[in-house]
Amino acid sequence: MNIEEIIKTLEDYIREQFDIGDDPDYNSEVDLFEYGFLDSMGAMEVIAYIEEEYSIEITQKDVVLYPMNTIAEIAEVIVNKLD
Amino acid sequence: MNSAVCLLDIAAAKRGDKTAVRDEWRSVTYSQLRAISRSIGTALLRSGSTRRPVIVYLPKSISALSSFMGAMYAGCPYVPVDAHIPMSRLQKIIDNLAPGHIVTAPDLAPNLDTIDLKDAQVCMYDELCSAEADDALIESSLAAVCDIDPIYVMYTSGSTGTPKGVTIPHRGIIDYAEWVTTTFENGEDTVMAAQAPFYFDNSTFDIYGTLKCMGTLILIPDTLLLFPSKLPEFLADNEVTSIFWVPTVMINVANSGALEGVSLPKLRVIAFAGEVMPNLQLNIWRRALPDCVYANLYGPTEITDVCCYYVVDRPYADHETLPIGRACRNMRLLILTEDNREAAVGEQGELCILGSGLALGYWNSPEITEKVFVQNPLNTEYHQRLYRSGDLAYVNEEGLIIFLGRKDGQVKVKGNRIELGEVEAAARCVPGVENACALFDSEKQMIVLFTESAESFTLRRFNLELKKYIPAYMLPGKLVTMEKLPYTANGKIDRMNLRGLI
Repeated sequence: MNIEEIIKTLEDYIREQFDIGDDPDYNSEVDLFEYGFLDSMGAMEVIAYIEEEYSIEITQKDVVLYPMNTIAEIAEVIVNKLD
Repeated sequence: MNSAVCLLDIAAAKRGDKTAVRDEWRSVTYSQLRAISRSIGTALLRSGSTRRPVIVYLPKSISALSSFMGAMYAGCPYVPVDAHIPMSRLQKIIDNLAPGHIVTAPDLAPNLDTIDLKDAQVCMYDELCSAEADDALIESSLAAVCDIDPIYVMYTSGSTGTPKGVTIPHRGIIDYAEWVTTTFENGEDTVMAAQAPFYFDNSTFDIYGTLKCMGTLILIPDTLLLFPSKLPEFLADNEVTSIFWVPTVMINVANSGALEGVSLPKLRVIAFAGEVMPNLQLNIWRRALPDCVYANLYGPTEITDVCCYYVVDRPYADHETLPIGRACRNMRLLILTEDNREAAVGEQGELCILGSGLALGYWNSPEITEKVFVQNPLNTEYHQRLYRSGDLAYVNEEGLIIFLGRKDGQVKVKGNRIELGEVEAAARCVPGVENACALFDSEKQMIVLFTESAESFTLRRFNLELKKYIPAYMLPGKLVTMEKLPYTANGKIDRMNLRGLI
C-alpha cells in the first residue's frame, strides 16, 4: 500500500464522516485542527478508524513524537507502521 | 511564608536532585529549576520596573513555569497568556495591565510587532536564563514582598468583550497548596499529570500542589490532549499518581473506551473541576479504577481556583447530581437569597465566598471589582469582603452544596468560563455582520451563534474569522445566519424567541 492510496482513503473517510463536502479549504496538507475540520472527539474517531482499517496501533508516543495534524502527516505515520 | 516561590527554595534545599518537572522537551530537578528561575528573576530586576506585572507569552512548558518563578523572585506578579492568543485580545490585556515585561521566544515574538506594547520590554526566555543569578539581589527583592501582594493575574472572559484580570495574592496560593497537600495526602512520591493550560487557574493545583509536597510534575503535551483515547497509556508510562482534569477530558477518555482493561496501579487521586462532571462517565472511571479517590472540586478564579470540594463517598446512579460539597479549610461559603438572607436548607440562592483565597480584585478595574467584591451583608459588625460568584446553589439535607447554574450570561464550555457577551462582541467585528446573539445549548453543551448578515457563512469559515478576536475555546458549535434577527418592541434582540429555535 503506498502513501497516495492511504491519503486518498483518509481524505474520503474524513470528508464523508465529518460532512465536509466540497469545502475549498479541505485538502491533505491543511491543518485539520487549526482549520476546524476536526476536534478531539473527531480525532478519536479518526484514530479508531485507522487502527481498525490498517490493523495497527497508534500509541501515545506516536501522537507526541510525530505531527499528526494533516492528512499527509497521519498517512506518513501509518506508512511507517505498515513497513 | 511571604511568597509562594519560597516553596521552590524549600524543595531545592531538601530534594535538590529530584525531578521537579518534565515536559515534552526536557526535565529539570528542583535545584535546576531554582537556578534557572533565579537567573530570570535577576535579569528582570536588573532591567528595572519593580512590582510591575510580567506577561509570560510561551507555550505550556518548563520555560513558562520557570518564568513564573522568576517573576516571583523579582517581586512581580506573573500573567500567563495562551501561546495561541489572538493579538487583538492580547492588546486589550496589555491596555488594562500595563506590563513591565513580556517574556517570550523568537518564534512567538514577531506576533508582538503587530500591537502596541506601551512601555513593556520584550525579553527572550533564553537570554533571561543566561544571566548570572544574583542571590543577594533576589533576597532583598523577596524581603520586600508580603503575602497580600499579587502573585498572578489571570484574564477571564468579560461580558463587554474586554477580559477581566483576576488578581490573586500569594496568601491564596500558599494556603491552597497546603490544602491540596493535606486533603489528598500528597507526598514526595506524588506524580502529577497536568492537563490544565497555565492561563487557566486549575493549573495552580498542579504546580503548587506538586511543589509543596516535592513531588514530580509532568506537563501533558498539548498534542496528546487532542487524542484523549491515548491518555491512559501516558498515565501508565509515566507512573502518574494524581490528576486534576477538567470533566470534558475525563468524559472524552471515558467515552473512548480506553479505560477498559487499563492497568494504572499507581493512580490514586482523580480530581476534577471547571464544569459539571456527569455520573454517567464518572461511573466508567469508577468501575475501571475502583480504588482511586475521586473528588469534585468547585471554585471561580476569583477565590484561587477552588473553595469547596466533595470526596465521592458513595455510589451514584448515572442520572444523579454530584454535590460540590463543603468549604475548604480557611474558606467560607454563604448562599444568599435575593434579599440578602442566608438561604434555608433546599432554598436556592447565590453562592458567595470569603476566605484566604479571595482575590484582591480585577486588575486596574475598580468599578467592576466593587460590583462583585462587596461587604458581607450578614456581617454588620466589621468590614469583611466577600465575592458574589453569580453561581446559583442550594444546600441539601446532608449539608452538602449542590451547584445549579448561572444567574447571568456566563457559561462554561469544556471547563472554560465564557461570557456570551464577549462572543457577541467578537462576532460583530466580523465584516458583514450587523448584529449577533450568542446563546448556550445546555443539552449539547455548546454555544449557538445567531448573526444578522446578508451573506451566509459556514460555521467553519466564520470561526476562522472569529479566531482573530477570541480564543478557540470560545468559538460557537453552531451558527445560524439570518437576514434580520428578531427584535422586541423596545429594540432589543428577542433572545427568548431565538432560544425557541435551538
